[in-house]
This record gives sequence, C-alpha cells and structure tokens, in this order.
Amino acid sequence: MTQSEPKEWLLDEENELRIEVEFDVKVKLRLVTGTAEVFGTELGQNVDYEFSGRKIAVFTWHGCKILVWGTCSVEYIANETPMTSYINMHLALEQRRVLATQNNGQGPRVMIVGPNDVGKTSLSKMLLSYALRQNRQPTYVDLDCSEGSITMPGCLTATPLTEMIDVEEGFGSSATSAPTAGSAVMPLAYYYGFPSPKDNVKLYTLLLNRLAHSVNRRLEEDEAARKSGIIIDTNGLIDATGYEIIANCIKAFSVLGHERLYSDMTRLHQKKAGAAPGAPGVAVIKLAKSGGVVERDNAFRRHTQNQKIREYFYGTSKSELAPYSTNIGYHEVEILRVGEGTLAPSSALPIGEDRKVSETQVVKVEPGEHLLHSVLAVSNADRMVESEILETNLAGFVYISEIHESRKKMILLSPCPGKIPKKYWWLGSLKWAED
Amino acid sequence: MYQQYHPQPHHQPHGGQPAGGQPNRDAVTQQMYRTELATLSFNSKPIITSLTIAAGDNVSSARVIVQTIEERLRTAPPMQKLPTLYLIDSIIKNVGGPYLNLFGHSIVSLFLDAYTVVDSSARASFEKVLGTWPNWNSQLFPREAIAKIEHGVQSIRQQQKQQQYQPPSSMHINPHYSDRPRENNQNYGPGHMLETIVKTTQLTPDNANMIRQQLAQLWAPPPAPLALPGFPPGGSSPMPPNMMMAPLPQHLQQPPVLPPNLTSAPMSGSPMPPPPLHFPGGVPPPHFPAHLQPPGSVPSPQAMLPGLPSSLPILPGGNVPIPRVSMAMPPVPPAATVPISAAPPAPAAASDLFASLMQSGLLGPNGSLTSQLLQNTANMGRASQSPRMGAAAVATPPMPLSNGTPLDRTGQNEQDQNVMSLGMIDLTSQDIQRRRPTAIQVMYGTPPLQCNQCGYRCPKSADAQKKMDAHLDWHFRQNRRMKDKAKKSHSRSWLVTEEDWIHSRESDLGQGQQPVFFDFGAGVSKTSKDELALQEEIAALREHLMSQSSLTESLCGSNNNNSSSEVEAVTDAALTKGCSVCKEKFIKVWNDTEDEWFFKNMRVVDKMIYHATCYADLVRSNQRQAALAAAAATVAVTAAAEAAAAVANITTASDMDTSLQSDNEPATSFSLKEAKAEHVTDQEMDSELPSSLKRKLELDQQEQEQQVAKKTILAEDA
Repeated sequence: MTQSEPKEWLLDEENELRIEVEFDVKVKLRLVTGTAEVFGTELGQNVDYEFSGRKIAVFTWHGCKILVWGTCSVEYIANETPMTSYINMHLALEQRRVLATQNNGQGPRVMIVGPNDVGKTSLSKMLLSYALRQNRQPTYVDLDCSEGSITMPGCLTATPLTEMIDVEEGFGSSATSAPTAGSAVMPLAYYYGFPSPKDNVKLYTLLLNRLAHSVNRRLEEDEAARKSGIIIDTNGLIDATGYEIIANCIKAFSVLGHERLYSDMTRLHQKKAGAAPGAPGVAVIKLAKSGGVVERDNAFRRHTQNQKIREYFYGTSKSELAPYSTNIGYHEVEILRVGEGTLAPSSALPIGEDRKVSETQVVKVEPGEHLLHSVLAVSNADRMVESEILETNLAGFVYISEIHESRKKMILLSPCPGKIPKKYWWLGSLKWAED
Repeated sequence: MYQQYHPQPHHQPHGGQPAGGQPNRDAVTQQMYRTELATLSFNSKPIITSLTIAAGDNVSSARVIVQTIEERLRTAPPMQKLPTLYLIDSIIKNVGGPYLNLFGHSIVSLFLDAYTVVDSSARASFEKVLGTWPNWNSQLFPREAIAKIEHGVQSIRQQQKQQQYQPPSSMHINPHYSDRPRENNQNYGPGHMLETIVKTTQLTPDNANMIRQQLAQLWAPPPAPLALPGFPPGGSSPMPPNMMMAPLPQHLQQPPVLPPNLTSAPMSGSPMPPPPLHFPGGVPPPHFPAHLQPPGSVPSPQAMLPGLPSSLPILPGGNVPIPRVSMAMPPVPPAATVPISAAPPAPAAASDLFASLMQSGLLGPNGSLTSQLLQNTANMGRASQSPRMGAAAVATPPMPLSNGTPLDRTGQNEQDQNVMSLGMIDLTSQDIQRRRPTAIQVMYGTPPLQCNQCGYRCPKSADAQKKMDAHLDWHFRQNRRMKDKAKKSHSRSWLVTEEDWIHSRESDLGQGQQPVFFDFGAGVSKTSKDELALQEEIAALREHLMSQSSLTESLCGSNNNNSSSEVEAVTDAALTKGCSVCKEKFIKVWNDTEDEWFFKNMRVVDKMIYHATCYADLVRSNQRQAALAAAAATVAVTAAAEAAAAVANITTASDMDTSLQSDNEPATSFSLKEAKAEHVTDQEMDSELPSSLKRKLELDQQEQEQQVAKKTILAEDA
C-alpha cells in the first residue's frame, strides 16, 4: 500500500492522532519529526509501521509530524487526552518499584477494572510499555477471557515481559520460533472457555486463584520481576458478581489497584478492610476514560477474535508461522468439557439448590461431527483427575479442520510439527472458520 | 557429549537404605528428586552425576524416582530432553539394579516419544545413547526392547524424510562410535562436545561462561607422552556454585593439591568458575605441569575469607562465583581476550586484574564499587600471610558482583533518582491528575541514545552505548532472520508446564522453545556474537590440540596414525573451518536421491577440503604462474599440485593411508559420499594416468562443475 500521496499530520504538544483501520486495509505510518508513541511504545523516526484492522492512537508529548499512507476509516487529532494522569500513574508505580528495590520488597500490583470499552487493555499496554521502557520486567496478567491478548480467547494468562511491546504486533507472538520484531513471550495459560467470568463464576475463581498462586511462586524466585510488579487486565465487570470476582482477585494477587468505579470500590474496600487484614494498602484510583476509546461492536469483537485464532496458527503478516496438519484417531484423545450441558441461571434453580457441583464438573465428550471447526485447548495434564485437570495449564491449541466419521479420524491443525504432546483436550465454545 | 557418562567405578552408590516409613519417605524423596531434576535444564555432568548418586542412594525409592524422571522426560521442553535421557543412561549403567527393570517397562515409548520431538542434533545424540545399550557389559534392557526402539527410530526418520522435514542429521553418527576406545579422540573430544553444545543450544550467559571456562581449561597443554608427577588421575570436577544444588560426593570434592607456586600461574582474566570438566571415561584429565597451570584457576570462594587456614587445598581450576549476569547485560566478551601473561605478586595482581577486567568491560567503569573492591582485596591481601592467600584475594573481584549487576545498577540508579526527584506521587485520584512538567523528561531522557530502527531509547547510564550496540545487534539478527523466513518455516511451539514456567526465567524459556528443527546451516546467522566467538575459540582450540597431537605422534615416531579421526577432522573442519581457500563455510544440503547429507560444492584433496570451484581456481592460478616460469606442462601441473598442498598447510605431515582410511570410513559414517568418491578417484588417477593428462581431464571437469555450480547459484538467487 505505498500510495503516491501520503497524508501529512502535524501534531501539537500532547495531541493524539487517532486512526481506525479496517481489517482488509493496510495503512502505513511514519514519524518524520518529533517524538510519538503508540500505547506507550515509542515510535522510531523515519521507520514505517503498518497497521491493519486496528484502532490506534499516536500520542506525542513534544509535538510531531506524521505521514500516513492508505485510507483509514476514521482519522482525527484530539487535543484532550488523559495521558497526564496515565503517565503520572506510571511514575507513581515506578516510584513504588524503586522503593521495592531499595527495601527488597514487592513491586506494585495494579488491577485495571471498569466496564467494557473504556480502554482497559490499552491502559495496561501503556503501563507495561512504560515499565519496559525503564528496564523493568513487569508481569502481565490477562483475566479478560473474552479477548485473549496473549494466547486465545477463553484463557486466563500470565506473561512475564522483558522486551518492548511491538507497535505493530501488540503483545507479540507467544512461544514462537519465528523472528518476531517484538517480544517473544512465554505465557502461562489456563483454560476457562467462556466469554464472560459470569458464565461460570466458580471455575473462573478457581482458575484465578491457581493463576495467582503460580505467578506468586514465580515472582518469589524472580527478583527483577517481583520488583517490577504486576499489571492485571480484566473483563468489563460492573455488577455484583463482578465485584465479587474483583474482590477475589485483589485477595489472590494482593493488588495495589486503581479503578474507574471509584466510589463503589472504595465502599467495598472499606468493608473489606476489616475482613481481610492480609491485603494491605489497597489504593483505589479513578482514571478518566480516553476520548479516543471507541465502542467496539460485536462484529468487531468477533473479527478480532477470529484474527487472534488465525494469528495463533499462521502468525501475522510480519512474522508468518507455519502450522502443521495431522490426523488423529478418535481413540487417541479424550475430549473434555466443563459443566453439564448448558447451565441454567441460578435464579431458575429451586430455592436452596446449589449448582456448584455441575459448574466444575468435567464431562467427557465423544468425538464426532460436532467438533468440526472447533478450536480445542490442549491441556498439559497427563492424568484425568477431576480436581487436578481443571487447574492444569495449557500446552496450546488445535483446530479441527475435518472430521471423518466413518474412519473415526479427525484432521487437525497443530501449531507445530510432531505429535500433539498431550491427550486431554478441552472443548469450549470457540469456533473458527478457516478462510 | 555422551561419552562423559561412562561409568566410573568410584561412582558406585554408598551403602543401602534403612527401611521404614516407606510411603512417606517416597514422597519426600520424590519431592527432593523432582526439585533437583528441575535444575537439569542443560547438559551438565555434575548435575547428572549427583542425580545418579541420589538414585543410587535411594534404591528403595526407585519406583518414585523412575516415575519422576519419566515425568520429566515427557514434560520437559524439547531442548531439555536430552540431559534427562543422559540421566537415565547414567543411572542404568552406573546404578542398575531395580532401575533396569523399572525403566525397562517404559523405555520404548519413553525414548521414542522424546525422540520424536527433539531436534535433529539432539536426535543424533539420542541415537548415540541408544547405540551403546546393546553392547554394554551387562544387559541393560531386553534385546526386544532395544530392537523396538531401533525400529521406531528408523521409521520416524523415514517418516520425517517423506514429510520433507529436516531429517535427523546422520553426520558423525555411528551407533558403535562411543564404544570404541576413546584414546584417539580424547584430544578434541571435549572440544567437539563443546562445539556441539554451542551450536545446538541457545546459551544463557551463564552457560556461555561455563563453556568458556571449560575451554580455558582445555587450552592447557595436552597430556605429555610421559605422565607428569603431581596429579593423580581421576576427574576432579569442581562445581560452579550456582549450578550445583546437591552436595558432591566426597570423592569428587577431593581435589589434588596444587604445587605451591600458584602465584606464578598465568591468570586468565576470566573470573568464572570452570564448569565441570568432562573427561572421557577412563582417560585422566590433562596433567598440568605446575608452571602451566590452566588459566582461570583460582581458589574457591571459601579460600578468600580471611581467617581460614591458609593451607586450604586449592582446586585446580577451582571455584570462583559467576557474577550473575543480568538479562539486560550485553554478552561478556570471551575470556581469552583478557589474558594476563604472568601474575605479579598478589596486590599488584589484583589491581592489574581489575584494570584488565575493566578494560574488557567485565567490570565496567563503576568507580565506587571498584575502588571498594580494591580496598577489600587489598585488605585481604594484607590479612593473609601466605602468597597463596594473596592469590586468593585476586579471585575476590567477582564476589560482590554476584548479587546483581553493577552496570545495570548505575543506569537504574540514575533513572530511579529521576523518578524519585519528582516527589512521591500519591496514589490518590487528585494527585494522579496533577500536571508534572518534568514527568515527560523522565520518560524521554536528556541526551537520548535512541535506536533509529524502532525508537528504543537506551536509559542513560554508563554502559548505554554498549546496551545500544547489543540492541542493534539484535535488530540485525532479527532482520536477517526475517529475510530468511521465506526459506525456513517457523511455528508456534507448545507451552511449557506450570512447574517449568514458574522455575524458568524469561530468557531460557524463550530459548528453550527453539524450533523443533534446528537448522544446522543457519547456526552462524542465528547465534549471537558471543556464541560465534565461542565457536571460533573452539575451532582454534581444536586446531591447537590437533597440532599438539600430531606433534606428539611424530615425536614418538608413532605410526598408528588414526585415520578415523582424520576423517572426522575433515568433517569437523568442513563444519567449522570451511574451505581452505576462501575460508567460507560449507552449505549442508540434503540429497534426496542419495538419502544423505552432502556439503554443497565440497571437494577433498589431500586431506584438505575445498570448494570444488575454489580448488579449480587455485589450480588454475598456480598453473598460470608455472606457465609464466616457462616450465613444461607436466612440471607446471606438479608444481601446481605442490603449491596447492602448501597453501593450505595443515599441521600434520603424515600421508594418509588410503587403504586404512577406506577401512575406517564406513565405520565412522562418513557420509559425504561425493567427497569421498572424489578423494579416492584422485588417488587412483594419480597412480594410473600420466599426471598431465589427468590434470587436464580434471580441470575440464572442474570447469564444468564450476559452470554448473554458478548456474545453480544463479537459479537459486532468481
């Protein structure tokens, strides 16, 4: 997309150029003079960046000149941004990191909560980028099971970051052998399998605690990471169940916390203060939503999800990956799912009835036509022990591309060559039509 | 790599176990074993030894130990499977007993499952291990089991070929290789091993340092024909303190005591501990004459503590802590770059060492810390009466560094100060909103050192430039790999298990998950500067050792010129040294019709390897010179041949015995059939045809070859 005439943008100090690019369009961007950053990662001067299917904001602290090639569906300059508070937030965290280094303590742990589409993930990215820019090694915990910034939708992940977040690729490609321009990261992922934490609160809480436990154990050993702290990104959680989950999360990760739903949370924490003396100094901070935040409709979310799945197997245009197709007999794997059939809402249950049993029940699924086009999560578990297998982390994902019912075989797409290492696979609601 | 695990009689387990509380004991043993096993993430002899001994000591818990090891082999990332296999091998050979049976149950699937996922170089090692099993002194596993594994290995290889994956390399592999006496290979065995490690593994700085240290030790003169007094044979393998979790058995900790004149020993600038030195079974370590103490030999850290008896035994190639190299730190320059030829008496030696360490960037211009160190050192020098303790003090510098990286700290401190100078920002919504004009300054730094490729800004610090260089190197490698991506396919690997995730650091995780297929030819492009330097060192070392050995041989008038090593040398040289004329490395290509690996455009003439094209050029240029001298055609050709031999002057002068070689070649799986064939043809032609005619024919042929080669290259480029 090197169209002849680039569009020139002149940005004043602390202005932001907001661009939206459609999925099938490529837009090239170049910083000519000044400084600029995209979600915290600084842009290099006279380097071309290419975007597709993204909504990005190029912010400048000092003013800059930017050239843009290609057509964006939306493009405008905004001069009111909450960036001051964001950078203050970062500096406040950085100060805590310095203190942690001096006292050999623990770095700040931040949880970002708020309703959908307020820029939580962007803010986490920004805080992480800033931390990385100052040679920190923050851990990114992604509890947003609807999006899956790091691996796939439906997962709870934790990822130690050491390299800059790439402007074009976002969080980078997890565990690839490919030459990535950004960070090659190794996440720890647990399979939840539902788009919202509310779909199976018990499982979500279970996994959340497990994840927190693992992260804490790792940070005990990794000094640099411990002092750099954690940034936790969450789903849009704004109702009673959401609060419960947030409270849980704060307990599990001993979060420092800052938050949009300021008053509610403060109230909650005044109550909590007596109950949980083990959670010291939870500070709740209200940050403004950036005006650049756009509501993403379901179509866009769906598209992003598909893109994520595609990226998992095929990589991005910048770093392509080669998945492998193999076939496997029905008897060679055990496909599992959580919960019994579709869950009835709690309110529909008889009074006094508890549905906890069924929420975390592991059910075997017979392989068959219904698996076609499903994305299955490969568990790292070696044994089928109900209490353990739910909490075992993931080895990766496979995609069922064909089913041969008569021969009892399925053809699947595996991220890398060789045998699929484990035989217990989770079936979730994730489907994907490979194009 | 494998031969290090030959059984050593004194490694036998000590004593039995009291019975009682079995299930509980099992659980404890398992937990302990698992923890220690987790440290076996790279090929480390001491860890394997220690785990073997632990297995021997806990025969009563054999079942859980076997279970733990099996679990580990199954779940470890591909790059870490090989050490675990070595462990199994070590246990069955050294401990045996119940382990044979226990492993026997599952060995077939265990071996094959791991074999399937490891990369081609690891496969070679797997096959080597397998090759030693059938012919072991005692029966390790039932014949059927081994046959099954062999069959499985064959079919996997077959399958891989069909799928056009990079098949396991058959280079250097001979199933019986490691069963042959090791004497002939001892000289460059370890070097070769190191090289394989360097080439096949992504090294962490720590690993690199270990290898470097090992190299330093190998640089010591080879065993003299006559045994020197002073050092009893038997491996003394001091452990690097941070690598070794479990205590060493007593016999490994008892080092031979060094002759007293250590202070006159040449000091290497390398403050790293020598890693465990692996010597082929039964072969004593080099006997170091006192005045030729191996570099890097400095006393163990304990020796530095004032108040310890000065008669503390000093390990040859003893222990010094490795400064823990932070991930952000640029690769440490090779140890060999900071040699100190002869260490003056202690305190002066200390400052000298500092100076060169700083020069080399190992210490960095961190004034305050360094001066403090110097003071410490001086104090210690004073405190100790004996010259040996003086030397011990020299070893101190790395000590205080070990708990962090002063280099980083300088940078970080400045940054920290900037951040703190803003005044504490309260975690309240009001304070967060407040404008702080200096805040941006913190993020963007004053005189920025910025990468022009990605906007990465190097935090201002003493070594910013170095960091930036490392960053740019990284870009370079990335770009190069991006360019190559059309040729190679990359894929996403499986994620590691929870335990591995918790215990491994980001750097090794990323590297542990290297491609399943390791592209041998790409070794050069993908390795870091650091590793390249290592490879060069290894190559130099090998040459050194080879020349030493040939010297020894000629001195002894020994005629049993071992040609198998020569053949291997050719192969090795092809891998490391490249063409004798242009010095470029050979490209390894897979020939489908021959089902073998070939070096592209390679030609062996008189034990020297050339590019066929280069050789043709060489001959032609020599010919031209000869013609100018107005010599007759025959004379010219002879001269050319002589000149060719002279140009590529290899150290050993003895003629190769053709018949002996052809006897040995099949045994060493010298799979470069093409090269071999040509070699033989050369020799035959020499004897049969008039040399002028022969040369003429050959030149024509080469001309053609050259044309073809050029065409192929052009075609490839297009």
